[in-house]
Amino acid sequence: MRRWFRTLAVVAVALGLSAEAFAHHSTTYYSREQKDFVKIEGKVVKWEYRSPHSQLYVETSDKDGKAVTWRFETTPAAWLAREGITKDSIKFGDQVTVEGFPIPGQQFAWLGKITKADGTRLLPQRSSATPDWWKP
Amino acid sequence: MRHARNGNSFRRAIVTGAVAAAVIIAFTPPVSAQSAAGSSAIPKLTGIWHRKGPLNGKANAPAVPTNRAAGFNQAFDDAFNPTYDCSPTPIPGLINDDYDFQITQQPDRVIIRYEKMDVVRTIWLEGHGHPKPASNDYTTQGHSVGRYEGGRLVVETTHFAFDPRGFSANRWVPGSTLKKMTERYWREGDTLKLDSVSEDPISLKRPYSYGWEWTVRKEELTPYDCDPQDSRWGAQWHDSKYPPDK
Repeated sequence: MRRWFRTLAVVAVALGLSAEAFAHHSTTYYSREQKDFVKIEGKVVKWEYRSPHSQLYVETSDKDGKAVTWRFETTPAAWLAREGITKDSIKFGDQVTVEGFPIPGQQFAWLGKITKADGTRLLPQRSSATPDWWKP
Repeated sequence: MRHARNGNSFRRAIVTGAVAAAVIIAFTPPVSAQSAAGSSAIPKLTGIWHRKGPLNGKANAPAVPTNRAAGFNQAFDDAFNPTYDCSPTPIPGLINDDYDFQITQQPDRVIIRYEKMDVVRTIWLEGHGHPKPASNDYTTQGHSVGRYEGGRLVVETTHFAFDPRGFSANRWVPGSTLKKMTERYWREGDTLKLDSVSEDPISLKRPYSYGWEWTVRKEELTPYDCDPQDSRWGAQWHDSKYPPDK
C-alpha cells in the first residue's frame, strides 16, 4: 500500500513538472521507434552551446564510406549546465559515440547520450523526445 | 520687539525642524520608505533561486479555457508561435517553465531577472510615486506594482499585450489585454514560495492558480542568448494543421 502511494506521488509530481518541462517547441517529429534509433561514431565538428536548443554536429561515414554530418539537438544551455555539461565539455575533434532519435530520412536527431573516447558519458536531461524504452 | 523675537524663534524652529526632517530622511535606511507606505515586514527575497517543485508538493493543474479560448487553441498553427523568433513568453507561462531566476530588492522596486529568455521584470513598489502606464500601454510582461503585506511580496500585474501564449509557453490559450496576475512571494528558511492567481474574463473559465517552491542557488544564472535562426530552424519539421496551399 505504501509503495502504491509512493508510486502515485512520483507520477503526480512528474506530471506536474513535465507539463511545462519542454517549452520551446514540440518534438513530435522525432521518431521514438526502436527501428529508427541511431548510434554513430565520429568526430565532433561543431558544438553550439546555446538556447533555445544546443546543437552537436558529428562527422561520420555512411554505409558507402562517404563523409556525412549528423546534427543532434538537445536541451538549452541552462538545463545542460545543471547536468554538469558546459560549453567546454565537448571540443572540436573529440572522438565520440552518440545515441539519438532521428527524424526518419534525415541526418537530424534528438540527442540521447554522448560517450567520449575516454569513457566519459554526457547525459542530458530526458525530454518528451526521449522514448521510454531507451535505458541509457 | 517681543513679537518680532517670537516670530524669529518660530521661523528658526521651522527651519530647524525642516533640516532635522531632511537629515532623518537622508539617513534613514531606504527600505523604510516602503514601511512609510504602510506595509509590514519585508521578507528577504534577494538571491538566485532554483526550482524545487510545486508548492507544498501539490501538482499544479492546467488553466481551464473558455470555449472561445479553446477554439483559438484548436485553430492556432504552431508555425505562428512567437517563441520561434525568440519573443519572450509572458507571465504566468514564463514562471511556470523550469528555469531559475534572480530577485533583487531595492528601496522602491523589485527586479526579477529570469534565466528563460533573459527576461527582466521591474515591480514598482507602491508609495513611491511611480508613474502609471498610459491606458493603451500594453506590453508582453505587463505593468507590475507591488507591496509588502504580512511578510510577503504581493505583485499585481495588468496591461498585458495580447499573446497566444497567455498562460503557458506551449499551449495556445491566449491572454487578452484584460489579463491580470497576482503573485505572492514569501520565504521559509532557504525556500522561496510562490502562490499565484491569473484571471482573464475572455480566456479563462475560472481563475488559474499555481504555486512553486525554489531553493537558494549559488551559481550565477546561465545566459539564454536566444538565437532566432536556431530557434526557427526546428519549426520547418512541424506539420501544419491545415492542407497545403495550391
